[in-house]
Amino acid sequence: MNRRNKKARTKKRLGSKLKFFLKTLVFTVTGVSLALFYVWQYVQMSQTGFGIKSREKELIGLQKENQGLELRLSRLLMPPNIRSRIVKLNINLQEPERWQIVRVEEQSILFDGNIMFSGEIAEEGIFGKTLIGVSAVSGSPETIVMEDGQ
Amino acid sequence: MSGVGGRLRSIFIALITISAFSFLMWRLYWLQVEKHDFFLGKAKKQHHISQKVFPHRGKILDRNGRDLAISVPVQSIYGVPGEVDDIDETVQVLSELLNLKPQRIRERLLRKKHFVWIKRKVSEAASNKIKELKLSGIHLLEEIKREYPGGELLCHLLGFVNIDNEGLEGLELTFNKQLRGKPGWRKSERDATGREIPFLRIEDVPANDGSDIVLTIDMAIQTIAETELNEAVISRNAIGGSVIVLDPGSGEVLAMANMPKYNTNKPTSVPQSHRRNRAVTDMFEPGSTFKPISISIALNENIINLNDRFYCENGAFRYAGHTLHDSHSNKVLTVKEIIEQSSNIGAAKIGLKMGRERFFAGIKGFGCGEKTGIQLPGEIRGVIREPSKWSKLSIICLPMGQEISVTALQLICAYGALANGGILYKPYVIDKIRGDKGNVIWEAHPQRVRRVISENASSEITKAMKGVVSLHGTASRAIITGYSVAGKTGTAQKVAIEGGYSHELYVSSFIGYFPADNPRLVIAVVLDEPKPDYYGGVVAAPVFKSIAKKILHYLEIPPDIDVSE
Repeated sequence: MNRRNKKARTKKRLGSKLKFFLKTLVFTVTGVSLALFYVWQYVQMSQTGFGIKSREKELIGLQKENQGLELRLSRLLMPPNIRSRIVKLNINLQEPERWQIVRVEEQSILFDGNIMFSGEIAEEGIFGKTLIGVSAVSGSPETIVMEDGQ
Repeated sequence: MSGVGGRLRSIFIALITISAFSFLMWRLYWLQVEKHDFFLGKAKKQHHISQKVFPHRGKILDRNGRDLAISVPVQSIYGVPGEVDDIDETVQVLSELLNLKPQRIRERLLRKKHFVWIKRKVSEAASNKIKELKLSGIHLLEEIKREYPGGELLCHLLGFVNIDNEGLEGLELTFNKQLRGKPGWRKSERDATGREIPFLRIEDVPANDGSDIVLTIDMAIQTIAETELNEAVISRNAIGGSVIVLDPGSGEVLAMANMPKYNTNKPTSVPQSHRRNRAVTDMFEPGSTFKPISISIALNENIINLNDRFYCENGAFRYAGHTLHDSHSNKVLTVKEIIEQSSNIGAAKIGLKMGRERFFAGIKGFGCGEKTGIQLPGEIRGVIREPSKWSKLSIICLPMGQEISVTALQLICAYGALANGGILYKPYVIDKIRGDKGNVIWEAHPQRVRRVISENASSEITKAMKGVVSLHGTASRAIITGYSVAGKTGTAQKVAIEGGYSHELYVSSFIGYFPADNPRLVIAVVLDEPKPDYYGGVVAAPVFKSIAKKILHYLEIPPDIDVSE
């Protein structure tokens, strides 16, 4: 009986020690996990922050490049620049003479995405007699189909 | 004994300990409480970083969206004198790369300062080279530089900015507030090396970029005007000149060219006089270009009509002890012929018929002696004296454009009213202002100042001015085949330094509009002191013709006269 009691007491003591050990273990693991999670989160935040920063730098770099290209484009588009380029390339562009200009008077009405033309073109120019008596031309802006008369 | 000694020792040690702790406590209190704000500020300064975010100065664009003034990032070079190791080598390298005097760089690097500018806004090549060399104590800082892609184009209108991007001239000055934008800031913590810790950013307020300004100017027309004016000033040995192209139906200025001009990217490389926008800052006696205005007032008041005849005294009219001459000896001229042949005597007699008060009220109505209110700095009023201060001769001098001074802009606006049926419009160069997100925050609308003459008077004067640009008029060199043009030449003597009118110095001008009966554009050409030819019909009219012909092609304005007729 005594031995049994002793055994039970020992078991009980061991049980409470185990419980304490387990409690401590859980507490420690939780604590360490939280600490690790905090550190991991901090590192992630830091890395994301530096990632954002590098993207910001990249963006600023691209914006700078864009502005530089914009300036270059503006310079190239300036009429005196185009003029000097034409002179350099010796294209010999000339203003057209009066007889070379054909003026086409037309009225256009946009209808259901199609363009309807009606008008009369009766001027003789460098390209010969052009489109006299076109009464109606219809079609999409890309493909204009003549319906009658030329 | 040992007991007493030990106790004393204990008391002594306890006292020292208490004193030490008391001192520490006091020190702690002093640091934590007394000096709290001071050390907190110092700590914040060490850990915090505050950066100013510079806004981009808004663009200036032409009516077709072409960039005329833009801002681009560039590098500036600065030095930290205490960090420079080898001053001789640094000075030599920098002076070669930056094209600066070595003495100037040395003097700056020897200053007892933490920061000295070496050169601001340097070229990309120079800044890249300096970056590669990694000179000790020499650093680069990014700044924004204003660039004008057109160089000399539209220089007087655009103006320029100073090194800190503050407008100093032209539209850059007038619209400095709208263009410059509002700076932002960024507050954050920094690491031991001074770098920003991005995830510890406290404040991030972005900069508000400046507004974009869209002009009414068309760069193609501006280029035509500048090229033709440039050629005319050189070929006619003039000291300067102006050309303005205006839409008479709205007051929109499509081009404003002046000579001499300058490169807007290097504004200080020319004398200050070159930077003047002569079209609004310089006045001149308009001479005969003023006659249509005078005669239109008389037509409006129904004092005369085009067919009325005036005796022109065979070319010499004696009045108030002085003799007024015409270039041709005419006996009788109709009002139409007075304009066509630019008769001084005819204009003088119309002036006399009108009388002082009515004539003065009429020319004031056309805006003479008043600023037009254009959004450009330095505009002047011109000079027109009150009738009470007129001499006996004034009533015959004023109708032919003497004793009055106007700017080229005032004159073209008055012609705009003659062309459009009698309404004076306020001229403007700004079409719209766009916010930093592209939204329109302000838009211009034509501003009617007042009706100055009736529609009938306007069509009558146009009829007369069409005769000027004909084979028998004074501006036959302004005839454009296929188009009806109404205009008037002017050859005004300049006032001599010694008093009176000079017989050598003239201002030649021509102002015209086309198609005459449905005018799309008015063009004014003014040449200052052309030599040896100086007649407006010889010097200025051909410039008008060249400009008008090119604009007609560009704007695809159809002819209004059948040439076969």
